[in-house]
Amino acid sequence: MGDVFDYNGPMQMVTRIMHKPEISDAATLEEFDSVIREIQEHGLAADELEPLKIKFRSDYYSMLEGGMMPRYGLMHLLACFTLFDGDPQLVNTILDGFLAVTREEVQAAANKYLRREKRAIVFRQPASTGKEAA
Amino acid sequence: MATAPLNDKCPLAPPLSAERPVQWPRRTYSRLSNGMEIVLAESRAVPKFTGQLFFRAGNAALSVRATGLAEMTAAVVRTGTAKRTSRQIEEDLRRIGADLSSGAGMDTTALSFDGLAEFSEPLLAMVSELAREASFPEGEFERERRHTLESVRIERTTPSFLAGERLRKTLFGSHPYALVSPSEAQVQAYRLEDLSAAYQEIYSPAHALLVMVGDFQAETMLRQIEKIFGGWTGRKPAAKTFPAPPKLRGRGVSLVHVPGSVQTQILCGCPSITRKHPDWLRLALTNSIYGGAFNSRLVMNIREDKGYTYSPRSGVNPLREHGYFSISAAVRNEVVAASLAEIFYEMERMRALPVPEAELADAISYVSGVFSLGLGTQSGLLSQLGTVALNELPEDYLETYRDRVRALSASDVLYAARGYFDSANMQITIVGDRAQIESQAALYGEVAVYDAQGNVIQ
Repeated sequence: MGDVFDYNGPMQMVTRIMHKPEISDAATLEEFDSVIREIQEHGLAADELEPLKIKFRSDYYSMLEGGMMPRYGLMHLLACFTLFDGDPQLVNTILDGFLAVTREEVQAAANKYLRREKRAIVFRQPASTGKEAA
Repeated sequence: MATAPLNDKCPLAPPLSAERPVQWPRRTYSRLSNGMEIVLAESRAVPKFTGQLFFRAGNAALSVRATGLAEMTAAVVRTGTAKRTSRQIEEDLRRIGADLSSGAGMDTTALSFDGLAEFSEPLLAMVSELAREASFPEGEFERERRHTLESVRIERTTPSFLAGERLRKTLFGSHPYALVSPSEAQVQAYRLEDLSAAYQEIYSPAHALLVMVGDFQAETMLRQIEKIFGGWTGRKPAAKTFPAPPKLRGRGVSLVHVPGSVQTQILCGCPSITRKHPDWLRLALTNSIYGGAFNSRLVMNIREDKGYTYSPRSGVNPLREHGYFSISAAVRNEVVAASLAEIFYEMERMRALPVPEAELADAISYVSGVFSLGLGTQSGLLSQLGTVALNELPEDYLETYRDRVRALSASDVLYAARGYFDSANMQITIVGDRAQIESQAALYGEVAVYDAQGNVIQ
């Protein structure tokens, strides 16, 4: 699937975790769950949201500059906003919505969308070769 | 992605319009009293900035002490200072939306960073702290060592790495450019005090270059830089002299044996020029016609026409003291000799016949156009300005680049191919299953066989 912007409709949220062989899948998953549980029950810490927004803003500008060729990101977003919203100007304003998100909204979204019964997990395990890598 | 063949009904592509002029960003050159050189360029497409603090010494300068020592030192520099732990560094970077990395190549060491324009001061303060007050925490060092051990093990299972390593050993002999990566034993033998000593020597303002591009006003930024870096002192490390690379005569063939390999990595190379050489642009254009671009002769021949390989490529690799030219292709085992035949055929054709005008015009548009594209972002501009400054090229190098490319002729290309595509003395490296490829390799010269660890095998 694409990124935060290039779709129009229901989207998967995917988390990839690669863990060391000495730690079990179950223990890794429990760590993952505990992070989500914390947000569902208590929300973000008071000083947690602002730095996230700063990083998001910084990454958004980098995305405009970067991509498969120089400034591909800007072209890509202009195309997405024209295709899905008929409004290429969104490239200049879309950030405002992200920067207005509140801690309460993050907590509500975690409770609404990050639900176990909606979740599918794929475990990918390397086949044993029976010998150490040379 | 496959290219669809043109048919009779397909309309011709419209002719290219003239290149548009480039608006050159304002640049400021200065030097602090401690010797640090500064290049600033204003570029306001996004409210960010990006920069690199270079030191003009890297793995080659430290190779007498240990292979890869500058790289390992750079990795640990990033993990702690007198004032911040590794975790604090990460948190502080996150708080200002910035990214920062450290690394070392053969000739330089660099701290690279980018962030939001309004947070330039805290980010530069962190860069300064890492360059001056790295604390080399024991735990972080051991973690980096484990990480590096993992990487060097993986490298030895990667055909392109093995080919590159072998070619560099052949071309550079006892010059440190021959040493591209440490062995596991060498990584195990690094000591924390070696890293500290390397840090003291390399991380000095006396041979530092700070290049920054972004949304700032140059004079204001320069004052900020002076405030942050002005009090830093250090000596210039003693200049190192390295043994000359060997003078290789005749084609040599090296085979790195990887049992069971289902394809073969080919890498051919010969000594070449550095960026400073007046023939650099001629050779760059010539390379793009031969194998440096997707529509180049080698790609059209062994990928599109014959289907021997997916991604053949040639390039000129400009290290500071010596460059080298190389051609790489991962091919099916049964077409190793056939691929080499085409690699040399296309090389000889470049040396024997002038390039047709239409092909030359396409190549000039490509080289010039790619250059312009590369200037379109802060990071692209940074990379070009860094290249100019590190190689002490003229300040108007970028402004004149496109005109100089457009002025090149078919005779320039013939001259460069004859001078630098040294077909008769090309060193051939192939990596794959010996049983399937050795007799093909032997058609090109006497074959020396090695294992993945670099040992000679009979």
